[in-house]
Amino acid sequence: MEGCGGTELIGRRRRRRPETPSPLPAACETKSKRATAVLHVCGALDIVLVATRHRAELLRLAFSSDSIGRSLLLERQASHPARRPPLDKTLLRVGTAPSERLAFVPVLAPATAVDASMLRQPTSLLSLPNELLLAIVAELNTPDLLQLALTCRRLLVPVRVKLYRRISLDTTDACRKLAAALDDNKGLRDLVKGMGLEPLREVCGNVAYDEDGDPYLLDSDDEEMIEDVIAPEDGLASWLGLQTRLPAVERVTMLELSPVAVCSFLEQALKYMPRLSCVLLPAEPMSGDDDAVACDFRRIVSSLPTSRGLELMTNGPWCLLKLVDHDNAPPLVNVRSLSLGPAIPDPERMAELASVFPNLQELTIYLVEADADEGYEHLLKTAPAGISTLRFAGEPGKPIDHLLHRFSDLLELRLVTKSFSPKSLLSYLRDSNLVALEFDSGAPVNDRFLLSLVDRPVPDFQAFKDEARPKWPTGCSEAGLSRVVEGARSVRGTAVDALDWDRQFEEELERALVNHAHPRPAHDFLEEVLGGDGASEALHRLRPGLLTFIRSREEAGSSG
Amino acid sequence: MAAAAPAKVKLSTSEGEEFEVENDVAVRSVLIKNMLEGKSPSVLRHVGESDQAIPLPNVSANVLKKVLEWCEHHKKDPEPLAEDQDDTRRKTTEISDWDAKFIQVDQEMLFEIILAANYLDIKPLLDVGCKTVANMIKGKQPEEIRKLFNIVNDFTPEEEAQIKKENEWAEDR
Repeated sequence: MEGCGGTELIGRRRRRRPETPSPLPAACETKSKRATAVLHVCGALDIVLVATRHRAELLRLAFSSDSIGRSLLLERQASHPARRPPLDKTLLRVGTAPSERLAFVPVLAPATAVDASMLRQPTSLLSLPNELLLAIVAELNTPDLLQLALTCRRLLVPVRVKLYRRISLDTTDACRKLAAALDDNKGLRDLVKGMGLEPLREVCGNVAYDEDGDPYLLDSDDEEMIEDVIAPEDGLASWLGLQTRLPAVERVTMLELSPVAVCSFLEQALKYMPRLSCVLLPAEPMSGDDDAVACDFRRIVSSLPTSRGLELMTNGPWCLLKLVDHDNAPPLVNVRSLSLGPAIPDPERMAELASVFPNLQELTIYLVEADADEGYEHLLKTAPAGISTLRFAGEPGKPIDHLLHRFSDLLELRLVTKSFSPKSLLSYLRDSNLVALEFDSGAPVNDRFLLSLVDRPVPDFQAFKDEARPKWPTGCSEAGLSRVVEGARSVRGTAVDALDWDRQFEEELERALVNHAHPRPAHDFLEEVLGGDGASEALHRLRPGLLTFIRSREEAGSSG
Repeated sequence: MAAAAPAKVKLSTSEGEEFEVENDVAVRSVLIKNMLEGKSPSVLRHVGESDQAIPLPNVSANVLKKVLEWCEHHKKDPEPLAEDQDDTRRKTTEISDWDAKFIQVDQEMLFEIILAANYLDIKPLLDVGCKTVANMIKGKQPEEIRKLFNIVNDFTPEEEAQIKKENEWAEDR
């Protein structure tokens, strides 16, 4: 496990780990070339299945346990080639993601079945595979992680992964210490995938934070001193010092930094962090109104090689304006994805989105403020028509039906609430290639809309669930929904077939009502879902549609 | 669809002991659910279609019994959303009273349940297990953690000092 599972999970082998020697070095190495190998962790045992494709007659099952360091190798020669299992596709599913699981059932090797329990020692924390230790440390906060790191080598591994995955620092001192740690142990560098930047403070006394998150000095009533707490230029020098040590960072979040710090950091980051592809820009600069920097900001992004895709998220109008201000600056061809909100600038101050982001693929607009209708309309009017994904989380008050038809290549349309009327959505759906459509439970959908989706395959269609609880959309009658669900079931793979909310709800109701043909179980179920008071009323409301449904099922049953 | 599938399914433990359980209890396990729905590799597919028990060679009878007890109680839960994978969201969900009581078992059983939940792909149960272990760790010093989990300190004093130094940057957070 140490040798293969560990490296699989955290992506690399670290040098200083004289742990239990891997019982399976050979098995792990055969993963290369054309051999297909999957590591799967079962029970207290790590089971590695190695199937070499070019020698498919050999199926080697290697059992090992890192708690006892013993291993058992079973080799089985398939005596009848005809009965040989097609190894690579059926028994094995190759996946490196921890969530990928391999179902291993030893039906293929009955002759050599060995009782695994005979090899086992009592299951303990340390016998858990890294995957599960990671799941456990994911529940811990930093102070507990620091204690756990000191218990033993085995637990240090997942703790490091968690501790270094995303770093956020708030003092120059912590920055220095981290830089030192990254120099002492270079293996840690690749663990850092994300960074959160905020103004750094110099440590000079006990600093606490008030309700607004502003720093103040304990043991001092002098408010003036707070200003001195923040390091010059938000601690830019310290951040820059870290950059060269963090080559694996993919995601940077910048909060409340000054424009100078944002620009300087970004320029260097794009140089030293080759995998950096996602940047969250701050909402408003903390200090300074540096228009000269604005041009720089755009230049930084536009100086990247065209092939390097970038996802930009803006957190307010300030940085969006810096990006889309009217000027003749070169277009930002790298930006593939843009998220913006919650406030949107005055449209007159914005250039056309398509001219600034000609290669945009994804546009996300979230939490629009009430008076932003015009800015919002401007964004949709001027966004490149070829985008493939459009997401909303919060929309203006008035429908903007006419703008949807600009986007003929959309594959995903997410979280549609009120901007589009069902009528315009339907006419759009008829001609679109949409593969994913998602709408809020507040969306004004009706029977006709849902019914029309029955014949319209949309592979990934979901209604947004507030509390993972099935809900009838307002505006839909029970009879209509029953027909929708019934229709969907007869046509597999349709949009409604994938509608979680009513599948769950209907499945329960169907089981209760169709199997038992009695309202009592349905009532019980409804009581659980809706609470006691709602159940009777809902049942009363639902029954006409469901009775039709039951009858049609019965007819279908007797004729079949 | 559930209505078409057989109402009960047989599961066979590592000892060969067979359990017959209701379908909607068994399908709390995504592994079993996929087998029954024919989504698993074809070698496995036939198990769901015949009377043959689904072999669960990594789960012993006493653990399976416990896991099924959980599945039975949670058989009506809505399926977890994909977003639940999200770190922050998972942290905020507390262990329910019933689950807390359910998971009051000795350590070996606790880890066996975690392993079984992982193997059977029962995410909510895995979460309960992991949270429980995390709660046992919380607020303890390294020596207390070692004692609790029967861990031998395999660090030299120098290494211990080194790790402390390495993680110093995180201490104020």
